[in-house]
Amino acid sequence: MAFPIPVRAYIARWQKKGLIDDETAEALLSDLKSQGSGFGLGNTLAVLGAVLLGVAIVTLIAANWEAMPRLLRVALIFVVIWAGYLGGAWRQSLGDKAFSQALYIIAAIAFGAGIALIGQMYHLSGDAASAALVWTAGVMVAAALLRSGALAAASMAIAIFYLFSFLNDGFSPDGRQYLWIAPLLAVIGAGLAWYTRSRAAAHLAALFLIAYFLVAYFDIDRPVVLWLAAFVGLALFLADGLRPDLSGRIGSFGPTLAAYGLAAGLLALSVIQFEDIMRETGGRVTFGIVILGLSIGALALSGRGNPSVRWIAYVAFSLEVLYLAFVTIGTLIGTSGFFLTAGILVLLLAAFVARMERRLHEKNPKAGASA
Amino acid sequence: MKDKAIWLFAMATLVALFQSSILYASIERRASVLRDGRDVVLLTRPVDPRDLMRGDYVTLGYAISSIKRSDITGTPDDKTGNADIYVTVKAGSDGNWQFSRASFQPIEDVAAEEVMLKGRTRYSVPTQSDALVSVDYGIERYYVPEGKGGAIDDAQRQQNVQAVVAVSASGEAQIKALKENGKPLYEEPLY
Repeated sequence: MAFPIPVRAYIARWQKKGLIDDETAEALLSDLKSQGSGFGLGNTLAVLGAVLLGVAIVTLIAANWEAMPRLLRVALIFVVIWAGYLGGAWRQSLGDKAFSQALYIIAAIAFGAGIALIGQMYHLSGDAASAALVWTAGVMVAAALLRSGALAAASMAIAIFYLFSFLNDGFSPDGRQYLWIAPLLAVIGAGLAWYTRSRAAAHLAALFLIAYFLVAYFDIDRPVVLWLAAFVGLALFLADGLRPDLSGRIGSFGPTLAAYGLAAGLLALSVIQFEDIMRETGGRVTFGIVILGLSIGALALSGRGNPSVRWIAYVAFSLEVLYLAFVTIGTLIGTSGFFLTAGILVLLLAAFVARMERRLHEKNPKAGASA
Repeated sequence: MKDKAIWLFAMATLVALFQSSILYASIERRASVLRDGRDVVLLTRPVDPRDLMRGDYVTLGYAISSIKRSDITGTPDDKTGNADIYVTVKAGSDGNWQFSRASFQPIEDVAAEEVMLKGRTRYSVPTQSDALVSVDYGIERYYVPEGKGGAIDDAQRQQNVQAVVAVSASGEAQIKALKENGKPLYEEPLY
């Protein structure tokens, strides 16, 4: 479901116009309900509000450093954790989807703040990375036990924070243990996303993996990391494109996974291309052709049924064309000539995208029916 | 429906208990070192502060924070880049404790007047015998109220801040107090 909110409005309109009978409308709506997590604007706002409130509580405790005795600060953290989880369970038992998740999130933030504040108050040394790892693990356990999609998403967001804490500490303070910890976290995150039926968690798990490949590449600085990322990404994409029956088994996650795979593959290839240029080995045109070919191939294979793939392919194709034009003819012509060429190219690309969109949309109903 | 609610509350309690005990464990672990450990007094040396995730703190360096490679016995186990290291200190005539010996393996024959600290090398261990090995003991940071760090830094620069450190039997160290010229600056309660 790419746009769950308007679809309901459409169904209501069709029902009103008499295009579909009440029974069909009911069936369609209940199908929608079973598919999506129902994480609408209201729920999103509730969770965002919870994040803000959680941060407010934490900064309030942290700022009143000297006004409060240490034990009181610790007690407050504990109170927020307990109140958050128990209060969340109470709201959830009443069927309240938004505020139960919001309270869980507040508790999870309080737990992370507790790790940082206790480390600070009791002068425990230790790096930010291992603190973030304990936080991630604690929230993952909470997500699994409470079967909470919001907590699953939060745990993956914290996992991304864990990866980026390396950038601050300088690389590999823990002897590069993250190289095996991070894939483990991604697998657990994907499992939690499936178990809690949280699309947000699945998105974050995919982003986490892409961030992992980038951090690993900049850390160990070997092209094999990029090739691996390109291979894994494209394999995911092809698995969905060539065997939709297989990817259909994981529900609506398949196409999304394919889109992330394509994005990761193209991203890895463009970093390879960039490295190639830095070393001036002259492969830029070869990589250019590969990236352009992949974008076109991706459009042909999955562009019809998968809007995310379509847009990733458009972006990759356009950037690559502009880039190739810049490095091959950009140096031969003057500034105004460059803008002229760039202008014409962008217009041509726009025409190309518009044409593709029309073509793909014409066939869309058929593909939608068979998918 | 009622069973489901009870189940949910049980899970929520479990989660809250789990996360609070992680936090409590780290507090209690430190308290037990302060309570049961032996005290040593180490003279600090200035280093440079600040950290993203936490507030203001002073970074404390000690004479035993860098040890000559040739003074360390045993073979380092540093497959992950850092090696465990065991260092003993002895009380000096001026009340500050001094380096006595170091090994990459736990020291079995610690004398009565010695105290053993367990540390970790900051980088992989160099092979040249005259190289200096940087060691962390977990007592390199002391958090202070915002804006107060500068005063300790200045005093450290004049070489007269001492740290009273409690050391457990296994060598784990925690800062118990900071002193300037023997006058207490900060003293740590157990909890």
